[in-house]
Amino acid sequence: MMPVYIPVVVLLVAGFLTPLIGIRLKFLRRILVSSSLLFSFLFFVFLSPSIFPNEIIVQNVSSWLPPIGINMVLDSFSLIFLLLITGIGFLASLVIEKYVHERRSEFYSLFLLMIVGMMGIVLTGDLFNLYVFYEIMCISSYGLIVFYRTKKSTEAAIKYLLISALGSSLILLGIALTYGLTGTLNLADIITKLPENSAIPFSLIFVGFAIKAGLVPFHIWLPDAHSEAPIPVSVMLSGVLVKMGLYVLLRLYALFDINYLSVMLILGLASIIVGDLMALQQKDIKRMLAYSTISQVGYISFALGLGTIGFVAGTFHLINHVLIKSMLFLIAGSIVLKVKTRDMTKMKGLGSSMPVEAIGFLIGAFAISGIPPLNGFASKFMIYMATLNSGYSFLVFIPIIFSVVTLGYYLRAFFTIFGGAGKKKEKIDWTLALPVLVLALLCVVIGLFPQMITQNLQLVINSLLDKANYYCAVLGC
Amino acid sequence: MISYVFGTIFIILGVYCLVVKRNIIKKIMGLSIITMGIHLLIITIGYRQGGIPPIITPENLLTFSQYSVDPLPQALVLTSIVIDLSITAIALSISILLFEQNKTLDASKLKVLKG
Repeated sequence: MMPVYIPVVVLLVAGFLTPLIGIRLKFLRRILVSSSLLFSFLFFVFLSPSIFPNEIIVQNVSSWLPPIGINMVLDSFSLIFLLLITGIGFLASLVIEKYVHERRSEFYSLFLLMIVGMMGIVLTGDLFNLYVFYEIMCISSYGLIVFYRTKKSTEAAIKYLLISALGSSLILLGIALTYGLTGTLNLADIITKLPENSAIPFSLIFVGFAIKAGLVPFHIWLPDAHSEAPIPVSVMLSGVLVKMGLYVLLRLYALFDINYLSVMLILGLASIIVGDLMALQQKDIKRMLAYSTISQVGYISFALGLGTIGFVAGTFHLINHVLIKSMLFLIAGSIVLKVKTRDMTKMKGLGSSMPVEAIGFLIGAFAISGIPPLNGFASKFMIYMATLNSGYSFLVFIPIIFSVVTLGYYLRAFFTIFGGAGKKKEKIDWTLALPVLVLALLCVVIGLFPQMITQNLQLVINSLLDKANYYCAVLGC
Repeated sequence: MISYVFGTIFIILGVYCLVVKRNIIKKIMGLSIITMGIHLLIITIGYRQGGIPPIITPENLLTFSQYSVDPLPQALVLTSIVIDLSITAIALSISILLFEQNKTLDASKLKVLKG
């Protein structure tokens, strides 16, 4: 069996090679970045049959055995995230050249490092190693947000940095206390050694990752950072990076049964309400999408907070949101590239000159607000059903009402941007349109055949919650 | 025991500094102080009364596991110091940019982004 950390190493090497290559062979940088991301994506695609649904690959990084050595654990749940990270990363890397015109080597390096950090978070089987990868991801994302060095982006970056660094300190404190309680940092080893009262370390860790997930009231950095970053970074931030917080929270819940689900439910509801109400007031297209991210992360967190009954629905909505929001940010990017402003009131009649973007935006708008037959409908319907079947059935009206609000501001945006008399037809820029088409197609296909995802997802969640299996795979029975 | 108290005091001071102070540089110092406090706590968790350094020599081979302090927290703190250094470095470089663009480091005067 090939080591599962090969893609991480490949991307890390590529990340540090790009500035060197950039000195002489500038045209190679783009090929190197995109091909290494494509390689990682295909690596995990070909690995998936051997893992799905409940096989676990454990890889010791040095020859030391766990619980002392560091190990990488790859199960089907982390495989989903790895496919999303590398897939969206590949699509985003295709459009980088359109948005970044100077210091490209620096951008490519940081971009790959951010992806390495995310992959490391998903792959690692060690609590402190998770923190290190988390910081790699965070530090490179600070650099990427401030990349344009405008007044706005600097302010957004320092805001994001101060809040996020406080969150990381809380996570480090939580990890330190967990080590004090258990004397080990290996996730599988902690399962057996964790004492009954371990609320304090895990509440610290919870707050740290809730900041990263952008749940209300820890959301204030999110709209600024996501709207001021360059478009490929916005795609990664809004599409994938905010989900890392949810991933870690779900993973820690599955392993240690820490009861913070009711908190996730309440924060999720608050995020739905605040995110949607704030998105209604926005004129800036990227800010609107960022607030919509807060609300959709709220839906996911709400579904996860319902308990085991909502895990499949929540994870399915998470996958759908990655696809939809990445597509919407890519579309927003090509609009901004064309009209040179982010103010939606100044855009008019783009429908005839950008047909692919218009169709994509309409699909995205319908999908994210849960209109059949698109993928968002399937997952939101599952969230409503899970709510009705859980003990919180009286809350079901809140997600439903705010879906209508979502549809409202997306349709308003659609008609202001694309509606009205347009200019003459122009040639379609396929570099920008191709990623949008791929994602739109995925949204429609998943929407038409949701069964093929949900049935498999049920198996994945079952294997995630089977912590005896995880323990045996890492430490032996 | 006393270093537990000091670690906690450092963390509380750092959070106070981060939340209350308006100058960005002072906020960054607050972040560093929080991290220092956490490092002190981690080191203290691995310490034992009258412990010896976690290095095996021919003399202490047999009694090593009885008297040695826990080496793992020290390794963790080394890693964490490096991470803290890079966060501080990027925070300071962003605040240089911030000062060049706004001619101020007062966080309450930065309000380009609102709503």
